[in-house]
Amino acid sequence: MLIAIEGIHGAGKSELIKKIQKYYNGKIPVIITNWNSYETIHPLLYKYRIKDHMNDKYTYFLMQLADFAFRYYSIIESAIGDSQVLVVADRYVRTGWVRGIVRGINEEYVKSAYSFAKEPDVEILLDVDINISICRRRPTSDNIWKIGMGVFSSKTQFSELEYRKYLTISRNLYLKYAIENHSLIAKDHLPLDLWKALCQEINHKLLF
Amino acid sequence: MILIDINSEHSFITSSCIKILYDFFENKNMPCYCIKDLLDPVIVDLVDNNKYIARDNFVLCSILKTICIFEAQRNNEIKSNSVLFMNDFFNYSFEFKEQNSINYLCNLCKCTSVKYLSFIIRDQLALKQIIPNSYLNIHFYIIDARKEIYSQIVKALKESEVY
Repeated sequence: MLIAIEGIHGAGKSELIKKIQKYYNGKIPVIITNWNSYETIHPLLYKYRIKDHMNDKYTYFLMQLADFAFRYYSIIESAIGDSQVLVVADRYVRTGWVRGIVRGINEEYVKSAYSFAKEPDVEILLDVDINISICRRRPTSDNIWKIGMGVFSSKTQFSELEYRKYLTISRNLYLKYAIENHSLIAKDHLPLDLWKALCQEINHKLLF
Repeated sequence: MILIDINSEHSFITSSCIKILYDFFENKNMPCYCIKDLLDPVIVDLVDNNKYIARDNFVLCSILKTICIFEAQRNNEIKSNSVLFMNDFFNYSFEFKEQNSINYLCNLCKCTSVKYLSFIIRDQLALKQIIPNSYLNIHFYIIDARKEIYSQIVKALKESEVY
């Protein structure tokens, strides 16, 4: 089965994945698939970065889509609905939507581009306040402002203001889609009752 | 930009159709390219060495083709009035019962401002009846291979208002 974990930077996705891994260790094979992690496509990404093409919204969007499609067909697709394996996606379709839309690409177009991917068995949004998100990221990254660089302006400099704007719009979009799709939503942290609800839903689908 | 997919049952018919179309567009000063020539070598390598890129994985093929068209546009390798040729995309998608892949490619091409035309050349016109309604937003042109092809293609191009 497939669990999709969505949320902005610093929402706590990695922590939740570790928790799931630990909880299901020995019970069922757990496979983690991360956003932008398909190695075979990295030479192409590298080439476009060198040519400074990744600042173009369509090149960026299509490259993320290509990475997702490769991982979808190689890892994810067969796991959907399969009770013998647990695939945890660190970001899934909603992230593809959010990253395209935040860059100004038409929503209908973005959704159509990801339409080949089936809905996950379980989806959870980790929603976090932007200040908390920044505090969590800052110690591990010197250049966190770079993440939203070029999204709202063509200049090559990056700023905290731009990053905050990027995060705010992304967060609102994630929330909108989570509500529309009736996903589990955890605010700022994963409370015990929600963790239990999540495990219950996973166990039910895994026939534990 | 126009993307033309030629689908016939015999390669010699495909070749002759492409020749007709090349001549037609080049006479109108619209440069013609084969989509294969635009594929980035890194993508060719990716396709050749990846088991998930079988020819029947239309989603992956569509995404990679779109990236290549877009990059070729960005690099000014092709002009906005170019005509890109590919072949048998409809045939394969029909064979693998992936008809929605045509819609997918068409939608994905929107960011490249591509107008998609598909020529389906058959010995019998029965195919017309099996094109589902979902294709109606796409420009399909059924060519009867038993009749003279040139005039049918020119008529279809005039109907399509692509030039």
